[in-house]
Amino acid sequence: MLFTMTNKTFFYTILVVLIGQLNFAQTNNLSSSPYSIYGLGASNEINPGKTNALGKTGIAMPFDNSINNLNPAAFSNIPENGFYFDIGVKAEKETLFEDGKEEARFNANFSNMAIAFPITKKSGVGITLIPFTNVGYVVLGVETEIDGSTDTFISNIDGSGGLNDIKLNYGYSINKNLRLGVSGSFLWGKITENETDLIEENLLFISEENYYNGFRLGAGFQYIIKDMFSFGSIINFPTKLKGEQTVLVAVNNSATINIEDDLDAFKLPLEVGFGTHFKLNENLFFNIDYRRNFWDATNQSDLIGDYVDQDFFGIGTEFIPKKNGFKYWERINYRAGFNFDNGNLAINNNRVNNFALNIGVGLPLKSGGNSLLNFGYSYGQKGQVNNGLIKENYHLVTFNFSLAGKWFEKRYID
Amino acid sequence: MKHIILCIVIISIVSCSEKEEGFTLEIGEDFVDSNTKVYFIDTLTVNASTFQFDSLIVSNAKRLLIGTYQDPIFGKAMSKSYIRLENDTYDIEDEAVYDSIALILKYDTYFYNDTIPLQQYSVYKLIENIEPDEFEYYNTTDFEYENTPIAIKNFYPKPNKEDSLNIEVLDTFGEELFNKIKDDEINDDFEFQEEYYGLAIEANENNTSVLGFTKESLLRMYYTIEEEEEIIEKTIDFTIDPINTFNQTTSDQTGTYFETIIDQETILPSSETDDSCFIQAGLGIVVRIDIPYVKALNDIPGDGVVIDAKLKFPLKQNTYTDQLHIKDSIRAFVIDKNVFVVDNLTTSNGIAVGIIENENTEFETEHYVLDVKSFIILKQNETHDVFYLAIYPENFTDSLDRYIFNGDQVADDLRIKLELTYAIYND
Repeated sequence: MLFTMTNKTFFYTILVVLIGQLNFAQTNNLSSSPYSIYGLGASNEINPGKTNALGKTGIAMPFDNSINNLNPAAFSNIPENGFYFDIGVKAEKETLFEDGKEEARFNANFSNMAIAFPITKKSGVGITLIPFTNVGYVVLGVETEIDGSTDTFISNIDGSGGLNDIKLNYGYSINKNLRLGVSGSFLWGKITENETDLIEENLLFISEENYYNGFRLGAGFQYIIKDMFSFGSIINFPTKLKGEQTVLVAVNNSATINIEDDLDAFKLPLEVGFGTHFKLNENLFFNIDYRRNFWDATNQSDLIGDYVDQDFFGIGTEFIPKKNGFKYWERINYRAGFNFDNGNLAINNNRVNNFALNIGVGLPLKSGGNSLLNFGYSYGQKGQVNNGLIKENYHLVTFNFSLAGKWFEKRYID
Repeated sequence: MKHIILCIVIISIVSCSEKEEGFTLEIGEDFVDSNTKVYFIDTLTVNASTFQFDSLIVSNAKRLLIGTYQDPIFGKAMSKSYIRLENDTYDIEDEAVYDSIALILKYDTYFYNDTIPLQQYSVYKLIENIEPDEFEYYNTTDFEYENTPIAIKNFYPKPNKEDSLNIEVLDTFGEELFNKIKDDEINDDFEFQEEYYGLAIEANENNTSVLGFTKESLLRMYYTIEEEEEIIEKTIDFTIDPINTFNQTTSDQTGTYFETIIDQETILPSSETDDSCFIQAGLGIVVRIDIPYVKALNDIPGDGVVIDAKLKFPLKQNTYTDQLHIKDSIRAFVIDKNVFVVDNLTTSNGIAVGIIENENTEFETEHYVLDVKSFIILKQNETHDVFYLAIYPENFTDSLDRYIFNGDQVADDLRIKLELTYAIYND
């Protein structure tokens, strides 16, 4: 056996992994937000491990029995012989508000897959596969005037897909207090937009498939100022994602045009983040993170909005009643957090703000082991109703199955 | 532990089949714009003119078309039929006695112009074999026949009341044929057709109508046999060889707009023919449509596609009656500048058929609407060739129907017009 799990567990894990991979490859329909029509879609904030219930914070948080994808430096202190595996699913129910109208949306899917293990006592690596952006919108009955006539035509528009991020993290401990890390992401994916126009008795169908891919480098450090207080920082460098487009145009179900073309590269901005981690004692810590994406400098705009610098702020806490307690409830991790960001898009000079309150628990899966089922719940709000924007209230549930195993350790014979 | 993992597996599988059923999907309607821009364009120039094909292929004609009529605009139009006859058996008993012979033309209900006056047909014996001109018969093909008719028929046509028109043929013709068969001089089609090339059926030039007869028409010979105090009447039917039977059309266009036509490259613009354009089936007079500035669509910024293109052809008011009737559909050829037929005008469902519509009740005009989308796309991509449409009606090679349309210069509602819907899908 590779690591200490029962054969059945291993089998189920593989099954889950396989299904997960299929989902990443096929559906990608992870969002139902009309805002995902812009750019490459709605950014994903869901990560492996425990950060989802911690206000999405963890820049300064060390590796602590679950994979922390927010800073590559955190991969440097993975326990020796440890092998960590994380798989997550999420479900989201949204309520959209616009001009007195109210509609519900629901979506559910895989949210991540990750592994991490140490290389030496001082260094470790991890690979995470997470969505980078999500596109998922359906709009029916858009009415547009026909130029040169008093008639209108009706459009149904839907979009799906998004970009995936496969990220290699490497962390190295310089000494007891300073950890460094670098990361490299390969971002790729397909965004599909279909539009069906009913023009008098004719049907015009336009299907655009936009393929993007590119690399992005990042770096980070974590520094323990005092035992109880750590500081961390990350940087993700700007990059360009090159794009290709395939357009299929069909009039009355007979395909007339099929074009392949290069798209303008999509520019990802410089991202800089700072975080602090207060560890009051073995049972309680707090995280505070701030990140900024310098979208202004990319000089990009979308159909009705410009990209603007985005600020992200988050705070989170975790409490464990008694880490190695005998009673199950004593070993449960209790988490809470709050996160806010002002969005990267200004629509008619109105920003699409987003905030969420989160709570969560980490349920130990086996006494004495470090595997956890991390459950997070967020209630959030995005946008506002005035000025023609849409407000989204969302309930988001995440499950992260964080498995901790050991490399190269033979099982004792019973 | 196992159960938790199983739960996750189940959740995952459920999450794969998630559908947004039962939700309304209107929010975002004002927020999301269509990426498509649609233009309705009815101002593209359409030039209508008239020309006449040098000849039409009339092989496999579906009827015998015989008659003449005089029209103030088109002049005189004439059609005659050349028919080859054949038979299965050439057997007449030795004791048989000749009685009579008649050409029985079976009405197929087609008529054109005035059927009330007395009409006259003459039947002639051909003195030349009916042969195609390189596999085809043309409306201009003719064959020589004797100067003297073997039958003349004066009659009042009843194409919808009577089944057939009976034309008694001279007995000299009938008896000679009778004897040749009886004496075994003619025993099969080959021997028959060597002596009898066929018949030409011609209308008197003062006739006022054109009539259609089926190819089941026949030449019937009557004879008798006396058997034990009883006379038995018998017949032999010579039927029409459908392959080698066709109609020849001719015209006298003296004093009409068409007088100036030299060949099919002579174009009569509608502006020079009283803002009208013309079709006369059978004689190959058709409307030519030129849409010269289709490429202006390519000047609209962005990538575009033709959604719909309808050509509207208004019939000129008061130019058709119950006698000078019209059919309810038209079709078109795509032709080049040398009037070479490149293709049929098609749609995704096959050959494009323009259907008559009655829209403008105020003026009580009718017009045909033809889907010309494929032609517009062809014109958009035109390089050195220039393409036109030649518009023709139903029964184009089997009638002498004529049509008069408004041209391209008349009042807006009444002129030949192109209505185009064009979409830009990519700015």
